Amino acid sequence: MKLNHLGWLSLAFLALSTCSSCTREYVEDLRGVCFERDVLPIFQSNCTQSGCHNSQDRAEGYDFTTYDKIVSHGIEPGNYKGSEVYQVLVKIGGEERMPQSPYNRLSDEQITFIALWIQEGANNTTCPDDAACDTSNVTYSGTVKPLLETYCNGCHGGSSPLGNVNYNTYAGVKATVNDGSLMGSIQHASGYSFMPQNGNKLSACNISLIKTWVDAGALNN
Amino acid sequence: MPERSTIKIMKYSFITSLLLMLFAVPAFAQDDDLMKLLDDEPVTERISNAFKSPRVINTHSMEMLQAGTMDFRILHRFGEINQGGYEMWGLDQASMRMGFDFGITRNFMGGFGRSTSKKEFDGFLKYRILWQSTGAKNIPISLVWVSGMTINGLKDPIGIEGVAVTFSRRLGYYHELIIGRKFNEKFTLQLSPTLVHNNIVANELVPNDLIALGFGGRVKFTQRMAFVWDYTYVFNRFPHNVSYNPLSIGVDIETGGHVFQLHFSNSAGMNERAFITEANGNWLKGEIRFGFNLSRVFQIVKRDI
Repeated sequence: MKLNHLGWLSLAFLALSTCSSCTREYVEDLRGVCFERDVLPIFQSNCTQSGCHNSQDRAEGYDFTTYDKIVSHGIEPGNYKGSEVYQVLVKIGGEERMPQSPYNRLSDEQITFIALWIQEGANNTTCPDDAACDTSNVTYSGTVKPLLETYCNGCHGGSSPLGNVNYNTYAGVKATVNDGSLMGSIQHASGYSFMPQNGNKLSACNISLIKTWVDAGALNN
Repeated sequence: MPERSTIKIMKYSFITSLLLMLFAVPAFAQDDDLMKLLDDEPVTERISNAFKSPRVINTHSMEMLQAGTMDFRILHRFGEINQGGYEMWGLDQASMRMGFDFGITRNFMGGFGRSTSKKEFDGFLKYRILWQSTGAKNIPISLVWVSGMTINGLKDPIGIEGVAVTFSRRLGYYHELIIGRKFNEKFTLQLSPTLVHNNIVANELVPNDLIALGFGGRVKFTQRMAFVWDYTYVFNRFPHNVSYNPLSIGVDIETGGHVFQLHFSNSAGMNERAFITEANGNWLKGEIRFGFNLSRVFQIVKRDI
């Protein structure tokens, strides 16, 4: 078979022009991934359901409720491909993949956040410009009560609080702390009604503020 | 006399198609083509009609256009069918690509098109290295090389503050080698190792070069109708997700002069960069689209060869 010179020439031209204008770039977020804002809420809301990787059940020995526990195993900082926590997210279907069926696979965006965070060293990064998320000085009156008033008291306050949850008083709030329904609802843990109902989930910062207060004993301070 | 006019029009079609594809071909190339026209092949029967058109559904097929013809292609992809009756199972949303492919010589063709999605231009060159034949020369397979380029035409293709939009950041490329065989009148199969390059990607974990392997085929069940499919497996997509691999299944219908390709696909993309790189739907979740390719071939150079 005779080679067609025109064809070869054109291919050579194509190859040349391809190489000359071929670049390899990627978009880099100079601030990096913020663990507290971008990663922790993904673990908390998708992995810590009752019976799964929370502090009580610790399925397969994994507890994904706090930074220290998340990085304690299954994560190789700087090597997302070698990290089991990443590998299970992209397994093909069935029992192997996490979150397991019937829960959906995480979105590409969520998987990307986790992989980038591992690649960047799996550090406990907080968001520098998010001053509001300072959990060092959390009180009931100064932090939690205003949040509940903003997000919850539309239904759970006033003269006829709904669902037998009365956030007009500290005692009413404490009752939902004791039975776990406050954290369960705002973290969208399975087995609880997701709150705020029909509204957006609270921001990760707001959830961690409330959680800090609960973990410290839910004091009336 | 007829020869002269042929050259003239051929020249014209060369120049228009190649200019549009941003390539320049040296002037002596045409003489070479003339020489080739004088060559007469001996008694070798070349296998034709392995597919009804130069595309399987999305991917390039082992078929070429005849020299001197233009294939006008109108492609539509509708919305996902799982949206229900209010959206007429996706028919209310359409995205399209209009394309013009030119058969330049027997073994060489090129084309360009524009898709509504991302206002993307694409162009390609396609060269047949080996042509499946029987008789004096027995060649079991056809070998076809395709190289193409895509240009994102959006005003702000990146959409991130602080990342300047340059021309090179709009570009993507693809190269593929098609290894195909028409086994008999009814059955054709082809494999196509493919490389897709994007000049800029979303983050450091997304590879600039995607490596993929296409599987295409046809089962002809009447003189005018054939069942066709193509599937592309992508090896290094990030995040790894097999359900994104484009799978299209359809029927080719030949109606004197037109070829209709009606199909279902999880992909909305209509060029290699789009349907291999982008996130496609999941077949198992009903994220499938109806689509059709309409192809009409015009003779634009007289066949006095």
